[in-house]
Amino acid sequence: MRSEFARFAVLISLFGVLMCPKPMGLLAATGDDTLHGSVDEALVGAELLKLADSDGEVRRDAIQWLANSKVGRVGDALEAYRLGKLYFWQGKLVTATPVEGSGSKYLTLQDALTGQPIYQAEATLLDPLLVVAKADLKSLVASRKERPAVVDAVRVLALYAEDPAVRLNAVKKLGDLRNADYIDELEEVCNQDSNDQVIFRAKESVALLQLIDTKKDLTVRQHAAKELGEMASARAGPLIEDLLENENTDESLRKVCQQSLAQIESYQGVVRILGYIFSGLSLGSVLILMALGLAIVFGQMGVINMAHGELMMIGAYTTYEVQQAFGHSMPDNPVNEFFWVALVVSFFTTACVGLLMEKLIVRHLYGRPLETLLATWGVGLMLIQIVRIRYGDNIGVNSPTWLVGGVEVFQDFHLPYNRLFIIGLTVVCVAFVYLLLNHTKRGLLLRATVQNREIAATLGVNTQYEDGFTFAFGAGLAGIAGCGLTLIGGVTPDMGQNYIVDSFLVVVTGGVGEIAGVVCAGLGLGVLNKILEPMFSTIWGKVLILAFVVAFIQYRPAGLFPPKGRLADV
Amino acid sequence: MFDKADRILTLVRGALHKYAPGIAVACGISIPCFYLAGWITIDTVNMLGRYLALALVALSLDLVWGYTGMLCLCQSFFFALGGYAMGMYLAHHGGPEGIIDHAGWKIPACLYILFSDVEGALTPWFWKPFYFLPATIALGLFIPAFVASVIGFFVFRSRVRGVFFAVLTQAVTLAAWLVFCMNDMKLCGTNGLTRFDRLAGFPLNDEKTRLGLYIITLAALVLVYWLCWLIIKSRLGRVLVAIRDNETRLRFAGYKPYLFKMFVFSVSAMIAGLGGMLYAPQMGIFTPTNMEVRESILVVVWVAVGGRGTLGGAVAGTLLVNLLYNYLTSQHEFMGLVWKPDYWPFVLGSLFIIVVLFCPDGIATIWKRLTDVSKKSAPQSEGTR
Amino acid sequence: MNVARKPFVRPQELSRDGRLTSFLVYLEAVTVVFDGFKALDIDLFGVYHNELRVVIGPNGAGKTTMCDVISGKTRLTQGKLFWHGNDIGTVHDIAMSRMGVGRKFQTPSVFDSLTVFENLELAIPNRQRDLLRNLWGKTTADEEAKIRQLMDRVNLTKQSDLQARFLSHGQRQCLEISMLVLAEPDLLLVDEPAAGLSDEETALMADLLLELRGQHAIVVIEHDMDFVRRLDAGVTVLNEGKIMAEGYMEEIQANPEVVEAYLGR
Repeated sequence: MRSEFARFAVLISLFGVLMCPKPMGLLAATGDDTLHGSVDEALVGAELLKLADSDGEVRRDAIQWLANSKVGRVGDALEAYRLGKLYFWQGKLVTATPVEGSGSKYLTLQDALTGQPIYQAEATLLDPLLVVAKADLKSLVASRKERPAVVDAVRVLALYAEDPAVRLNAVKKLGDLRNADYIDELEEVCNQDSNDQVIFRAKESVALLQLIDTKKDLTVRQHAAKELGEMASARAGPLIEDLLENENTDESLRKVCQQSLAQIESYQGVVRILGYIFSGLSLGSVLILMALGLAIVFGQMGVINMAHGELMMIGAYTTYEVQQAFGHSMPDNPVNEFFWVALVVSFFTTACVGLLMEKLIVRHLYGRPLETLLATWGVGLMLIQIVRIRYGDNIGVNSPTWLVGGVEVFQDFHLPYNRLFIIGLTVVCVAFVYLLLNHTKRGLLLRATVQNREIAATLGVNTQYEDGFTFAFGAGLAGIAGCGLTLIGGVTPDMGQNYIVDSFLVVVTGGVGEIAGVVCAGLGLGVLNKILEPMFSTIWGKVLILAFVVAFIQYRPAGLFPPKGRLADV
Repeated sequence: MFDKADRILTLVRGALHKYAPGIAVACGISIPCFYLAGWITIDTVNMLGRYLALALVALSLDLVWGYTGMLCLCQSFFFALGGYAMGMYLAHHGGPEGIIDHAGWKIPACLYILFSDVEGALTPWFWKPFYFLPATIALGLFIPAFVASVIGFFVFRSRVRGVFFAVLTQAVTLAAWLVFCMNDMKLCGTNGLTRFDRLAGFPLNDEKTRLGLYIITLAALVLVYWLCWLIIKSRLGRVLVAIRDNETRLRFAGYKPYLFKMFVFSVSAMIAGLGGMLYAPQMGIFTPTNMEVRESILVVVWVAVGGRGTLGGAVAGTLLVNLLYNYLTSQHEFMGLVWKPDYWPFVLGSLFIIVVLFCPDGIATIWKRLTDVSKKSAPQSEGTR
Repeated sequence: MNVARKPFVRPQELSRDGRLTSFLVYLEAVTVVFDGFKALDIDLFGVYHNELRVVIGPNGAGKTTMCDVISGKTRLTQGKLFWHGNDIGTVHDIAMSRMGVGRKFQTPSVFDSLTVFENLELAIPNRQRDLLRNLWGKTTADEEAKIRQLMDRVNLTKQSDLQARFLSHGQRQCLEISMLVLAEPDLLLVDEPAAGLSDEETALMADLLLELRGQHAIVVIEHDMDFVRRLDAGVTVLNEGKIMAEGYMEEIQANPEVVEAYLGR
């Protein structure tokens, strides 16, 4: 027992070390204040109003002026203009949101420049927003001729947006466009922006644009290449490769490029490997989460639950129902609390289903593992069909907002929040199960029932209750897994089928009934899968994993942590 | 008077029990007769032919599971190996599409469709033996047996049993399915083998051919049934039962169970392959769907419903469940209640559960109770406690 | 019972060569460790050719483990196992049984779906290796006679065509032992033969074992002291994995350590 715990602890600390960010540029997207426009707002407002002018030339001049205004919000207004979502109403430029239930006939208004909602003249507490009929609004749309200028302006103005994430995107995009015209704007961003990440990417974009500009001075280009090498810029990689292949590239430039490429590739190589490891951990944690419930039921009761995948699916659909109940939808109406509630509700719903299964069916098949396999498969079939009839074949579950996107732990190494959350969830679940089984009275009763049913019964343990509890608990864990899986995958009636074989393999490889075994096997198989995937294709990778497990079972037929002694004859 | 009626009933029951196989064969033969008399269509004959081919697979599982006690979930894989063998033969000789490649071989139509834009495509080397019918039949029997021996050698030697074995075979089937679905493998990917036209010169659409196929399948089933019966009745059969009952004791009696397991596993794979070979021409298409894990579990249901550990039960179960499926997957109305084909999974699922909970030995026990009039079934030993 | 019997010679009293020659099976410095727990820790243990020996001891003393080691079911962690004087190291169960060790388990272990006759038929030696012979071959008249003889001996002739699952507990024990005897082993390991038997059946079992003595070496694990006394054989007492005492029943019963640990005052 102690040795297993030690193994477990080592694994967790390894994981922690891996998550520790490298000192090289720890950059998290922090909210910073914006680059204030150097022009006063009233002037901007006046120019913006010119978009409503009927004269095309006036509009064009306005657009040009606005492009140089360096006010971020102007970009939003212009984007609305491009999409036809800008309106002229009572001498003001506004954007509009439809009132719910009115079928877009009635709308509430926001100021186009400031984004502030427009209130009624005599605002009441209940209903402060001004509601206007669509017919009263005059829609403004950018004409075909104006569109390129507007798009251009939006791009440039994004550099001055309030949200650093938007600026970051803009900076990257301008570099990718390979249009040298933007170099000046980008350099200004380098000098004046307050967010380190934005500055970094801006510098990268500038260097990229300088490098590919064949008209530029050679020393400038060499300097750019060198800088890109030091930055280990991933974006520069293909560009530099192209340059090296091009015969016309100057020799001195070529040397610098080669050096930079080497730097880039070594860094990106490390990032790539870390990426695989993280994917492996992520996949491993998913496998563990799924296999945990299964291992408990199988290990503690000797029952094979082929409906485990379907229980997971029910957890996912429960999450959907909770989402609908809360009215959460992205991106319009996020109600993020639904997710925590969904976790809890999924657990209890699937636990109930599991309890029902146990009482009606599994209880009567105690000691006959192959029969339980068949009976539970039958239950699974029915569950799939029930869900399919009720919900159809595909529904959408949206993640809560705080799980969208990711954190750039260090340069180019992104860790998506949803996968991090699942890893965290797995750790919590495993710890909980371990503590429950080994450090609580409930767990003790459970283990007693499993190890020697008759004696436990004579000691007053209600073995039937324990069985029900175990099965329900295992089912509940499946429900949590299902809830977690909605974050990373589609929700369909037969999603369970995709995971059931993998879960079994994890349980079988890890050793029946051993939590530590499940953890090791899950992580191992996950990482192995992700390492094999890029080497061979996804499918061959999977085939190899299956072959590996088959081979592994030859070598250790009872798994990584086999049950020893008299119990081994199950 | 009742006494006489009772005696007649006993006679009938006894006759049913004793001549059950004969009666079954007679029923089988009567089908073509009904067809020739015009009472049933050729489609029904064809459907029954397919179900008989599936019954072969059920027999193969019964050997491995019913008698030797190993739940094997890869029968559909062996079935598919045979099916693909015959399918490749049929694909060679079928379909108008396809060109003659550089080596002078006509690329099979279904393969050509997938690779029609590839320059210089050649018929893959492993397709070539299946051009000839004798080679196809031989390979269709040999390949499953070979694969089974290889799997069996590794798995049985390391004493993998019970649940682990089931999960392992499930994994093997899944891996095989993944591989066969890939286009790169030049086995027509998820489209499967199609464009079947002729078998040994006989057009597959022709009614006579289909009737002939039915008769061949029936004959094959009878032959295989007889072979299985021989195996079961021999000492080897008893060793298999001993493996199921108490493998440890058998080991301590000096036997090497893995030899016997390998043998029965290979034989069952061969039978399943034969089933596949007979199924392919009667179905007209063979795809990777036929080797999904789900199909393997279906075979288990057939055997479980019919009665595992009894050869006749396996066949009966297959026919029963498949006929039920056929009937229940078309739209019906029962006294105003609309039955939709959608509801079939509920029937199947409940079938699983009911059979397992209430008649673990299948309908064969019911049959036995109805027909077994001998006094041997009740044990009358002395000194019983 | 007046039996002119030889005095019990303990292994310590023999030279090493003597041990190797006179013992059929001989354990030397054998330990078996399960996950940190020492199940067996034997310095010297041996069974003479054709001897009937009884092994007793409290629960968990290691009696079944010792049988597991001798029959090849469990590997010894340390030490040596000698068979006919040869160091056989770690041999697995199939090989051990082919070498001549027969094992009867604590719970009667026969083939339930086969008849009594078929059970015995499987136990006939020299058939096990050949796959095909099992497929084609039939039982010879000779072999059949042997089977019938054995069935007679254990009063199972009437049940010859009855499936083993319908036999009583005692009958199953007898069947199992006959299966072992049929294989003509050098050593029989019999784990609790008297468990769950009626008085008549116990007497029958004791007689059977006494008959077999002299033709095979037999090691009997038992708890029933009357049964042990009836067998009138050398006794080895195991306690906590170690051999506590060896000798005939009278000496054992007089040994204060044994009395304290096992027999009770």
